[in-house]
Amino acid sequence: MNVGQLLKSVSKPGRYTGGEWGQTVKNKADVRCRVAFCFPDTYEIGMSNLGIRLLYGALNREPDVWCERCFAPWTDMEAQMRRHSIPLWALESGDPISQFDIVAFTLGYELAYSNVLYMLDLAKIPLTSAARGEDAPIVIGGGCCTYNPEPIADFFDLFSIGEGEEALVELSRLYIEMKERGTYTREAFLHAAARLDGFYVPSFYTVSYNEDGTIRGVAKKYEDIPDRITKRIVQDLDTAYFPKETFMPYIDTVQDRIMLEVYRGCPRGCRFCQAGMVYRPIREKSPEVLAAQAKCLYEATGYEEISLSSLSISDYTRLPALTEELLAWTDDARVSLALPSLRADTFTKELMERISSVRTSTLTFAPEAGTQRLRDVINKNVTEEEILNACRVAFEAGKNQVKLYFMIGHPTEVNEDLDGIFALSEHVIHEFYVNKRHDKQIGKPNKGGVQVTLSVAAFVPKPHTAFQWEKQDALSTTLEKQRYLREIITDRKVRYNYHDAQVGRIECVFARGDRRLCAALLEAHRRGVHFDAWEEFFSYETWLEVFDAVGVDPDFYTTRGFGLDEILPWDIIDCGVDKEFLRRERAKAYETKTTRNCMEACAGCGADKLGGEQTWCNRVLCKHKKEG
Amino acid sequence: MDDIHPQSKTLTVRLGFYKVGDMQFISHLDLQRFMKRAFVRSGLPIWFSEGFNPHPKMVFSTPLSIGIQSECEFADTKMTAPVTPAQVVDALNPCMPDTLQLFYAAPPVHKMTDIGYASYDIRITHPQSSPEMASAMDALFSSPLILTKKSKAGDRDTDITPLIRSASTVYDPADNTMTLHCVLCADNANFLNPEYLMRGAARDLGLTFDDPASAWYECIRRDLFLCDGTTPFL
Ligand code: SF4
Repeated sequence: MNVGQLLKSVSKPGRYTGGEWGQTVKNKADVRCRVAFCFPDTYEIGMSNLGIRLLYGALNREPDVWCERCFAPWTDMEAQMRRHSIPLWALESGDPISQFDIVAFTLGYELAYSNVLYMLDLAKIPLTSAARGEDAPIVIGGGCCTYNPEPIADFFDLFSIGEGEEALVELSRLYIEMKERGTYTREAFLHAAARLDGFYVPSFYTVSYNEDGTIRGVAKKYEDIPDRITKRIVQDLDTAYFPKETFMPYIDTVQDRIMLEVYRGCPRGCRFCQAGMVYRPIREKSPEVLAAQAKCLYEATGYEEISLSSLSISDYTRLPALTEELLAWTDDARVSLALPSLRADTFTKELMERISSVRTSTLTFAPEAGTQRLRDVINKNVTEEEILNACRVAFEAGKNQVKLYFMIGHPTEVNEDLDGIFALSEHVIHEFYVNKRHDKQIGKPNKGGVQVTLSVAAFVPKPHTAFQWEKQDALSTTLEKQRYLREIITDRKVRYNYHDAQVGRIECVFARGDRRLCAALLEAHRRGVHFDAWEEFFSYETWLEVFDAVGVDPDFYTTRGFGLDEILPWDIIDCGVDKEFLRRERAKAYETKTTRNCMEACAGCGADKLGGEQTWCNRVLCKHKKEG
Repeated sequence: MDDIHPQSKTLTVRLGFYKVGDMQFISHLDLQRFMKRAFVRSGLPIWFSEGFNPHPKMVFSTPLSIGIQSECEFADTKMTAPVTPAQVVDALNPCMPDTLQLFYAAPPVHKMTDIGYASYDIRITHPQSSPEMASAMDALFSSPLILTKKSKAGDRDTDITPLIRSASTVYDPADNTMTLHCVLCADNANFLNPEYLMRGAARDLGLTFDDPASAWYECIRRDLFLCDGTTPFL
């Protein structure tokens, strides 16, 4: 029985064939280090990930390294694989990943952790680092979840902290060198890796706990490994690796277009946002470089859309120059531009006109909180007026659907803040009708009704944010707030969607967890938990049973809150932003005081110590010194 | 909507291609998207529709289910400038995988609606294959064979044998397989999917399956014919 014969027995066989246009196939005889790049979710989601494209290209640029892809097989394929004892394979070669030198997982969301164990199990690779013999692959984790790698520490030999495109190449070179010199043993390799910048070997650190369950301290196995692991960054994005070609899925995926990362990091400093902290310092790319890279990728792929992807695209200082450069050829080539992450306060008519090719009739903004007071607490520096202005621009341009993102459960939240969510929606609707009346007067055609969609998530206090010490609302409180919102939203033009509060709680446990959670993950795996990020598979009850079985109290990580002087599980990771800065930001939140964004003034977060080219830290340096 | 634009400046080219190996798992829609991007990569003067969502025009011949390979697929597309068939083949083939390659490009000879029949080879790897089973299969396809066709309008029992122009099965003792060669109706109104034949065989020939989901045959489309059943479609 081979893989080919299984394909007729499963849904969406295109997930498993490999052979996509732009994939890399190498002659095994030339290869000295084989890497399986694993994404712990389906093909469709994994193939939409920009990080994989970058790392795949960066590694395959090395002539003697071959990086292949591997995704989590759907459950119908799982059944076939188990039935015929076929171990998990990599798409390009079809070889079992257990034969590879390095198996690297990218970890983007906590609910995918169960799928890491699922994939290791399907691959027949021992689940824990401790159980892996000399011949087993080195299992590496990377991605934004590794800013708190502790809940999955037992399953990984190594974590790559921060940006991986240079780090992973370095690591594979180290691997090849040690193998060739004959100095390779698992322990020696991990020890050498732990001395490279940005690598964390969890088994070299032993965590001890106090009576009350908080962390007492961390002991190192070797003197010459760092106390804290500072994340890696790419200094200059203009000269950093960017693929000249890329693999293109045959089947429909979530994002199947050119993704152009315009800058890394975010200058805004929202206090709940982890991405806004851990990707600092903000580093921009030059418009000329971006335009050339886009053109090159277009010619290699034939994609019909370019998406400018960064945390808040309108904060890019040279957006006009960039759109100018792109529009110079995209219109003729019938390529459309998409700007997915607009901020209300910089959404102007001018910008709107530039992206007239935006196809959907929906615009999305993220006020995140319903009142100005609470928006000040979370440092989401956007006013209601700015939101309404942005909507007006959109309505004038003929749009009639607005999607607003909110979060409930922020620190200091009261009922008025929930009322504010609905009030803001009503004001947006009012804005639409004012505009419509005006259009009627000037004889423009009627554009029908308006629809405001609210997407309301539950706050998860994330590591490395000003709110990292905060409590998460109890499940009952979140459910009560959701019910309250459902009751007060009486307008049929407002559609109210909210996230599953139970999912938010499990996410919180794993986002803030320590190493004792590893036992829970193993137990969950034993009970068959996988594809947790999928509604149809997620079971809150199973998780509660699992926590009970291994003696983990979920409240400890959620509703307890963490003491300001407590050693936090993720303190071992230095993302560049100081804990002292986060403490200051937290204090300001409770005083309802905002902090200016990096573009206006440096708030002294500390990330400038990492360096970087074309950063805001350099531009605002003098102010920084004054304030500091 | 394309008709409202002047057609005189455009040139229709019929592409003949095969879709084999892993490409058999790519749906019609996915194929269209892939070929569209391959056109762009090829640099050919491909014609785009006007409007909000410009796209090259592509009209495909007879439908092909996922999981069936083909050596004989056709699609019509339009160019904005004259190109020779050789230019099209030379430009497009390097932009597509080995499993999806043009064997032909020329102005259309027949209309797509002239297609009447398609021939297939179905290689059956079921362990119960035998010379007797091969004869039983031929007998099955020459007497009325009632199958339930599911459609939106409801399930309908039909005799599929009038849609079978010919069917003959050969047993190969070398690897204990049987190959069914058949010519089936493939015009717009009466398209017979070869999978129906296999469904009938599985039901009526006493084949047993350990795992009902596992694959037990491979099917490949060999040719397309006009309504006379013999003239190749071009
Ligand atoms: S050091 Fe200053 S300018 Fe740089 S990211 Fe931090 S707050 Fe912003």
